[in-house]
Amino acid sequence: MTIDPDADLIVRVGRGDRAAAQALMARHLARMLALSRRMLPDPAEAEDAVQDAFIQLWTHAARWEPGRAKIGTWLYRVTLNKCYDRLRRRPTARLEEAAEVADPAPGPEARLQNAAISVQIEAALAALPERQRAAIQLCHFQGCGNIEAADILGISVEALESLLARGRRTLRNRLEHLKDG
Amino acid sequence: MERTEDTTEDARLDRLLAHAPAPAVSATLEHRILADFDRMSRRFSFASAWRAVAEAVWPGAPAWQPACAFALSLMIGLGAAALTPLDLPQSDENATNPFAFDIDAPQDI
Repeated sequence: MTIDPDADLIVRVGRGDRAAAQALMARHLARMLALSRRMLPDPAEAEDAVQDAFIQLWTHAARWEPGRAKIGTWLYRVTLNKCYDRLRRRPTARLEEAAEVADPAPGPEARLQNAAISVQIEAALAALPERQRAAIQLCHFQGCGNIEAADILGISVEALESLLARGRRTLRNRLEHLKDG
Repeated sequence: MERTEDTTEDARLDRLLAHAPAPAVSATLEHRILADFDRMSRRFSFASAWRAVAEAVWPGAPAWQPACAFALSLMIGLGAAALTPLDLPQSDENATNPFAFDIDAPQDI
């Protein structure tokens, strides 16, 4: 059985400990937002999805049953579900609405070039089907292992590997024209 | 040969994806989330009141422990009250008890 590093924090959050809530937020917020921003084209909507996921955590904290799920895994799953809910409500999201890019590069030229590459990568990612995008986001950007990512997505490891393979193939084709490095 | 090509392409894709920026977390979002937490912790509920009492009585223990301790002590108390015979004389016993006497009755001296 794996030990959840957040187990102590969630117990304290359940008792109304604000410092524990802050610590839990510091540990997961950035990654949840990254996941949500990748899934939703509108940054404000992505922030709302993350906020909703935290509200769900605050509501459930007092009744949290240790050992049932890792808090990180649960949080990503809830965030993803919040994103899916929003995507369902607006199924015709446009590709041009891909997430904004803020890339700190050393010089103005390099910055422009990196920004241009980033925009194309973001657009290619945004154009992927949502399940493939979520799989790539979790495994590539969040650093989740295949088992954890499959758990978050609620699918088998084999199905996850298939999603990853298809997503990566599509990305490779779409980004073929970009210069490497 | 095809597999080597795939691996090279995969490595190239990994390098490209490294360009994708990670979004910065705004202070406003942090404040909003913490404000939600504050609002929800202020909300009164019997469950939270019970937890507060349990925490005051038996800090750090899950709620079922003080609840069980209370229930057990109550059962022991009630059991003792129901089963233990009392030595106090009953009013009926006074009439039949040969050692009892009426202080107001005339005594043969």
